[in-house]
Amino acid sequence: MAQADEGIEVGTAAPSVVVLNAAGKSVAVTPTLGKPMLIEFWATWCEFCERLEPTMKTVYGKYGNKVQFAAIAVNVNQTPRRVAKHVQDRALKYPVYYDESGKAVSAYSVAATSFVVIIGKDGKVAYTGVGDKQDLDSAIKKVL
Amino acid sequence: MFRMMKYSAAAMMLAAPIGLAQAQSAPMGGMKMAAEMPAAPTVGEMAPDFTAKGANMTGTQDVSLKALRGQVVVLAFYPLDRSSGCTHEMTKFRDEFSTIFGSGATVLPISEDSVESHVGWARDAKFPFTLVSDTKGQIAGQYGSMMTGRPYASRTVFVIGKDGKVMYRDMKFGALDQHAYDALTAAVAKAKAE
Repeated sequence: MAQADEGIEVGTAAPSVVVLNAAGKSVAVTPTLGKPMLIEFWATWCEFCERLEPTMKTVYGKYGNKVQFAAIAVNVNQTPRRVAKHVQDRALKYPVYYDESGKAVSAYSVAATSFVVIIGKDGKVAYTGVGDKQDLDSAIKKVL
Repeated sequence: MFRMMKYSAAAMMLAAPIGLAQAQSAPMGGMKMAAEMPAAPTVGEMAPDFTAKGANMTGTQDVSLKALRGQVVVLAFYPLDRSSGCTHEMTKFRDEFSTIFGSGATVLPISEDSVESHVGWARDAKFPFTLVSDTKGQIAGQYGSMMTGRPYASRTVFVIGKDGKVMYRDMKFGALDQHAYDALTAAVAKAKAE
């Protein structure tokens, strides 16, 4: 798939965003200085996300104690209820959030689902990628 | 449990011919830097006229904004045919055409892709609208919709009223934000009602 879409630039400071957690409460997803972070923007209807899911599960199992994870579901063409069911059905262990306001998508200039942002210990964006064939393991190793 | 959000699905509409006047492609002066481009027209200002080649499922045609005076027109600038975000935006426009736009509005997505690219994509995706080819970014420049430092249009939308004036604009249209589509839907409805 062609790549010309927007997306936060590598090297910029990663913003903090307010999203809903699984309990429906507003929480801030904030990069922590000294600990890398991985954010995936995804949707239940996104085929790329579905194919990326095994990779997400693998890297979470491998680096979940060293890297902060946040899978943020976008607010288009899906409901929070559907997202919650997907999380249950797929037994997703990493933290899942819902971007009800659309502000997280805007803050990270996300134009495509399956967009992954990896943030370094310095709070700056170290990696961005989209699609189902992302080498997240290598990208994470670079920020540990 | 997440709070429930409303979502309205709509059936896909097949393409309907639109009354586009014969026109010649505007002379191209080469792509300018974003800083040299005119500012985007604001709400209440006349929408800059343009003529260009367009493409839909049935082939190519000339597009003239001026010839559409008397109709509500939606211009949707986007970066690139078949790219992931643009595919999401255009297929949502297609799938929810009757909800977002309905009858009485002409929808013209615009990118720098060639007419040939547009024809292929329109046929493959069965878009019910005409994709406008703005190969030199001239139209995007008139609407302040060039991506800074990159040879693509940025993702913006303009709703133009029957009198040719801009009635609504979103200079950072969120392809993955339902609120952006909701606001566009309301703006189109308002423009059609006037």
